Amino acid sequence: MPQTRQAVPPQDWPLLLVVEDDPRMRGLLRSVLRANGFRTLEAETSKDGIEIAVNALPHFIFVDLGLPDGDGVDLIRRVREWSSVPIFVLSGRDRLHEKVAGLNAGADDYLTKPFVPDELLARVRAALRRMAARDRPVATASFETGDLRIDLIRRLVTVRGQRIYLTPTEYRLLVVLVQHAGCVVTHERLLSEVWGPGKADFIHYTHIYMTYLRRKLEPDPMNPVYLLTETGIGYRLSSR
Amino acid sequence: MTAVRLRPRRGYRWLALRPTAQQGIPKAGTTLRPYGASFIATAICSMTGWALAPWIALDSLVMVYLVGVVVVAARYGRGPSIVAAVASAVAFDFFFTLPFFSLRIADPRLVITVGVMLFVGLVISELTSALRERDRAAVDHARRVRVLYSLTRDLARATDDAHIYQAARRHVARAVGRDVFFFRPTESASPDLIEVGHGHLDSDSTRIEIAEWVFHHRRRAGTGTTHHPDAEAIYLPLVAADRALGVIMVRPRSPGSRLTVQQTRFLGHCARQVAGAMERERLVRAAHAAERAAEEEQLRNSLLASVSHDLRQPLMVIEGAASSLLDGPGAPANPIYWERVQLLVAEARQMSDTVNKILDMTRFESTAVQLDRRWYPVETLVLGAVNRVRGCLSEHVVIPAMPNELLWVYVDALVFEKLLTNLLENAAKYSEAGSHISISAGCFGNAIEIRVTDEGCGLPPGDTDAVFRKFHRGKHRNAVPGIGLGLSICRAIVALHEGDITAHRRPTAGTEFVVKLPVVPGAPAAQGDFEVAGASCSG
Repeated sequence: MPQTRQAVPPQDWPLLLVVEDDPRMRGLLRSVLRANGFRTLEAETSKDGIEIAVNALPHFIFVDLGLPDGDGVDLIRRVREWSSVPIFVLSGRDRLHEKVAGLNAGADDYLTKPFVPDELLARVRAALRRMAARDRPVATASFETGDLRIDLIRRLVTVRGQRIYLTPTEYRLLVVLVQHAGCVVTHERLLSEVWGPGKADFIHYTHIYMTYLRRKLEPDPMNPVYLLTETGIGYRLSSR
Repeated sequence: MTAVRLRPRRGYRWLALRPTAQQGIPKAGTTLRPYGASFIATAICSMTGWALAPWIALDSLVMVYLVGVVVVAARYGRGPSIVAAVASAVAFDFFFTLPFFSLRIADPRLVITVGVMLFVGLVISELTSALRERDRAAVDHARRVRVLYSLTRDLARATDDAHIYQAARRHVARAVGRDVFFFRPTESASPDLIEVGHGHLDSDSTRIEIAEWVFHHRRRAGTGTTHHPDAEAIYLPLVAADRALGVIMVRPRSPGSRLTVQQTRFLGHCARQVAGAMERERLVRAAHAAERAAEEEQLRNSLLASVSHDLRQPLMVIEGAASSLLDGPGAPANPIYWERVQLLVAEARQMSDTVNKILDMTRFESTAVQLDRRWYPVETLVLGAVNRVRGCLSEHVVIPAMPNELLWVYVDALVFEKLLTNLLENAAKYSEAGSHISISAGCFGNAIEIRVTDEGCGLPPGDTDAVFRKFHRGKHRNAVPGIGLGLSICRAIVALHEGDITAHRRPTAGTEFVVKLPVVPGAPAAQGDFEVAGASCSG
């Protein structure tokens, strides 16, 4: 086992909480994370998870939504009441509703089991970086990914230096995605942040405006590289 | 035969004079005996009158004759009683009026007496015989109802066709005094019918022939009908809910006796009852079979689901652990190590994929699958699917081609994405690296079509539909991993969305899969005033 081989991890390594009921999956996560510069804490149930989250103040939380005592979604909601720690949902391939519920409850992103360790680590590191950036006093004034640049102060969108004109709604949609860059944003959240609350029946707005945005921003709208579709869940602005 | 019986009837008694052993079947042809009886009755009345004449008045003698008329009317009916009334009037005139032994009547007052006597006698005969006929009809009817009732009761109790035949045979035979036979359809094509209780061989071939005609035309045949009227038996179809279930044949025990209209009608009623019971029995059997099928389905599903679960979880761990070896630090520099780990990852991934496919097939085939259907532009779904399978399509050039206007489909996004990813993966599997895979959509008439085309080896000649069958594999099966479920899943998914999927050989090279979805009314407007107020943008 890795624990026996490894020395006690240094205290300055980020602390990750894994809430997962399957010991095999927990073991795998522990092994991958510890080998790559993270400390881990583990909880089997949502109740234990909340307790550890309150006491140990981890830098990052993984929540499996198929917990035996019920509700991973509840844990997310409870933690979100007092903390903005990045939370990732771990979920099976077909558990679409779970994922959407977890994301709408305040989780930052999801990982589908089985996950590729490389991707997992990249996503965790990106989330931790974002968290660190958010804690800095100066707000990010601009966002850049590939050839796409968004100047949030001057409300300027350029692709390869070429200025792109957006309608107010398109711009607002893009800003919401920028605020969660790299993470999936559910249709419901896009809808309420762009169009306001009480529009639950108008999810198709998001599809329509994402199509407009794609046609304006993507070099090839049929092979999008910035605005990615997460079918049934929402959209993601690529941050790579 | 001449016994006279008093029958009790509800609350009062009435002379219901009927033969005890006649079974309600009138003899063919009328005999002259009742008319002889009229004369005998008249003679008896005359002798009685002669004996009583010294003590009673002449008018009272008329009553004696009228008693005779009543008895004849009650016993033999209208004709004989009219004869008796006339004969009584003549006998009274002949024997008791002056001059005796002559039809002349000296006293004109007695002419009136004789006339009234004739009139009263005729009225009595008419009334009594009408009453008698009504009584007989009522009794026969009651008897038939009783038989039908007990037949129905026994049929209700019957639990299979053999019991039904037995009950029907017993009751019908007793009611009409004839032999009853049944024919039922066979499972094989020829002959269509066999006689119940006999093998094919001992049945008379003309019988079977008539029975088959009855079965197929659902009309009666045999004696008293237009088809084969020369046959000695009558054949009735057993029809319930517009389906012929068999044929009933009723044959007289002695040749030559015919059925009355009422009896034929009664047989019709019995046939309907029997057919109803058989239909009920058939439905009960069908319900049982459906129940069993549902139980089997449930068992199969839960077995598959639990097996897949117990396979899937460990496979996830194996796959994750193996791929972590690829990325993790401290791996040996030996290239053999890398090869082996890559093999491990690839195989674990393949196995996961197989397990997932089995799970999907199980899910989409079960009757309880629930779809979460919403409106999506085809473009969004296609791009999402392409994005998802990017990894396994990395060696191919994928060309999505979407119309400028948004095409809306009403689907379960995740399920529909599975359809698209399966089609794309299938295209990638069966075409060379570097070749093009195109996915396009369009609206044609009242169907939305999504086409996935590749430049691969194409379908084998023959039945292009075969590719959608479960566990069907292409000709390069050994070179390509998979278990042949991908396209069956596609078909199941399309069926869940009331659509249609077909495969075509392309004239040049490769295969084209066409998914057709019906246009569902209520699509969101493509253009609209969804702009939010405020928030001005650059420019």
